[in-house]
Amino acid sequence: MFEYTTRLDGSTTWACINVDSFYIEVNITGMADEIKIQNKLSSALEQARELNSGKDK
Amino acid sequence: MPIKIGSTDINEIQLGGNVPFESVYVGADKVFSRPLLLDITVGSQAIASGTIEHGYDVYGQMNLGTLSYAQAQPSTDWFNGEDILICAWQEYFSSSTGSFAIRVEGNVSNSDSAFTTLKVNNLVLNRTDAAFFQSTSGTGWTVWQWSPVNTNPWSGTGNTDRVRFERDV
Repeated sequence: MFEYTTRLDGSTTWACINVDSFYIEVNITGMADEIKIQNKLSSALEQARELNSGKDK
Repeated sequence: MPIKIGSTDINEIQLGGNVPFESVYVGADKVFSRPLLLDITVGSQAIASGTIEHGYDVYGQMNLGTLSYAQAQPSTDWFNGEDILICAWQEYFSSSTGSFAIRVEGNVSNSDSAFTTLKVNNLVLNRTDAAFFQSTSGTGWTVWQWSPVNTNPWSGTGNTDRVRFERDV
C-alpha cells in the first residue's frame, strides 16, 4: 500500500511517491478507485527499478 | 492557442535582426514560445530479450543514434541545461506493443517549464500523459515515459528525424 501525496498541475492530478531513491508521479486525473491508483503506482515503481537497473545496458 | 502558419508550426520568429525571440505575446496571452528542435539520426538495437530500441540512447554504455540541435539554443534554456540521454521508442515485439521515453541527466521538474508537448513526426505526446520518474542516486536522472505507444514514430533506421519540444503556450 503506497502512501502518496497529490499534486495539481493545471487540470492534471498527479499521485506522487518517494520510494528508495525514486520520486515518481503518475497521472490520476479523474481516478476515484483507490485500487486502480495503487496498481498504477505499483507498476510505475516496477518501471522505475527497471529504468535504474540498466538491464539493457 | 499557439500561432501557426496555416497548420504549420513556427520554429523561430525574428524581427529586423538575427536574434530570435524566445516568446511572443498578444496582449497578456503568450502565443509563441521558441521550441527546442533536435535532429536525431535513428539507431536501432536489441537491448533485451524481446525488446528493440529505436532512436537515440547514450545512457550508460549505450551508443545508439546521434543527436544534434537543429537551431542554436541557449544551453540552459531547456532541462536546466542537462544533457538529453535518451529519446527513443522501445518496441516489445513479442506483444506488438511499445513505449516512448526521454531521459535527461539530473533532476528536472515535471512541469510546463520543462515542456508541454513532444512531437516526433506524426507522434504527438503530452507531458501530462507520461509517467514521470526521477532518481536522486548519483548524478540523478529524470525520465518521462509514455506507454503504450505501439507505432514506431521514426521514419526508419539511419534516417534523420526532427524532434520538437514545445512549452508554455
